[in-house]
Amino acid sequence: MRITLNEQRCCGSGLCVWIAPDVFGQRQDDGTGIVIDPVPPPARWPLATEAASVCPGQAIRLITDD
Amino acid sequence: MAAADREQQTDEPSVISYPLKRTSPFEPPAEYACLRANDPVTRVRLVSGDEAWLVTRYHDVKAVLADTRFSADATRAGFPRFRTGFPRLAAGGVKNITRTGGLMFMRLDPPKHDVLRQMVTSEFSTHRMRAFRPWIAQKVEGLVDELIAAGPPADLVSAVALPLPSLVICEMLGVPAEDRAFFEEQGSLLMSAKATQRQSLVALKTLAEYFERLVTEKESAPGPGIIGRLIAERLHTGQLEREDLIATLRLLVIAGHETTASMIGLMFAGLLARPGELALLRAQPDLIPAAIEEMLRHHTMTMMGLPRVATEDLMIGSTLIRAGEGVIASVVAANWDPSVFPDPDRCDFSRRDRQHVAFGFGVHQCLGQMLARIELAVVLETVLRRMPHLALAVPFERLRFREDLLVFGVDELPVAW
Repeated sequence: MRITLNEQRCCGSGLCVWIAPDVFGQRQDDGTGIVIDPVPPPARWPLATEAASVCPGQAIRLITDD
Repeated sequence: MAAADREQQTDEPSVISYPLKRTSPFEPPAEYACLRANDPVTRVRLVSGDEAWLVTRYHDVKAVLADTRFSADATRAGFPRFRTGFPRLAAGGVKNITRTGGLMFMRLDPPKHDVLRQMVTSEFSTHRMRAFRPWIAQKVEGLVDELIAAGPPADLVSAVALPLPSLVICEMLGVPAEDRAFFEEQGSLLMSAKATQRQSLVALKTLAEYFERLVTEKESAPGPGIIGRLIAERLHTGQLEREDLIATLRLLVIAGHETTASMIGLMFAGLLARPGELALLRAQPDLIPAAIEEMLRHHTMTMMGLPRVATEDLMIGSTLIRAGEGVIASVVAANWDPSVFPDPDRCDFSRRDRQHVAFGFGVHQCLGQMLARIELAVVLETVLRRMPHLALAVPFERLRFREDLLVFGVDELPVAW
């Protein structure tokens, strides 16, 4: 799984950081979300998926290469 | 009336009076279940006389709130007005009322909304709020100390629920804690349906003038806190207009106060009405974060829903919404949608689900939600620990719940411990 975050869509809710802190962070200066682990191990997939599903700006994309 | 006549009448689109009334403090109006099933996008008439579309299904509510073609700009024609007697805001914002201008970004659309919101987003970031937690915990200890010293019985609402959010916002903004009472008064006048239009407008003006003075004072010595930082980093650099700064400060005071206070009150009212849940949380405090999410969903106190206006012809499900028509996204109804939350009437702490829309959805989702979660968790933990035999000091039936303008809540919560 690869994870991308569209900064234009991000509204800085911080939900992703709260739910999956190993995968997401927030920039210090403007609170915009960042992906700190863009290719997470499978153990982190469930929380990364939940973070993507609750993202209010629908800014997080999960790309699975089957 | 003959049955045939009645049938003919119902061919006309029926218009429901909104808001619908609750029959129980811990259940949304019963009509929502029927609307979700049969009439998920329905016409309602507000006390202002405005008509709007009420949206009640979870996925429709999220779709509306995520779609910026539904505008949050209250100056647009057709934007649903919840209160009666209020003038429609002119394009210049509240300038005619406060003489200090700007619209709060909660009522602006992108791109201006995004620019203004981003200037304060990092102030409410998840890391920052976590780092703030010890300060909040210390304040809650202090409030509970005072409450215990004064009682029992004591009112949990006036002793803890109301003061905490205003202490917190004073600290964050960088204004003296003594101004807390002032914020509480102005905030409740602005949010209350009981306040007259004149009282609310005067409160709006008073708050704007207060910040006007404060910003002027701080311009020469910005100091710590959000106001100081916005002055030093945004106002002085020319990125932020003074009237927009004042509007943002007004928003931060208004949005975080009555809402958090109401939710703290409802949380304890609910737990005291269902002592099994209280006992469960005492036995397993690690359930508290999940319990907070479930209570946010179950008690959703944003009872009026979130108003928007369509900027072009749009479909919600199979209903055509014309440009200029108002829409109300009912987060209360969405959070009780049984297709997403089975048995929604059960307040179930084992529901491992953070999909609720108690804080809204889309670009306007509550900026202070992480702060609210921490305030709720800290208050709950502290009260459970410090008041081991917490119980209502009056019969539950005596509690007065208020269906105020924007947020549902309990007036007083007399407790013993």
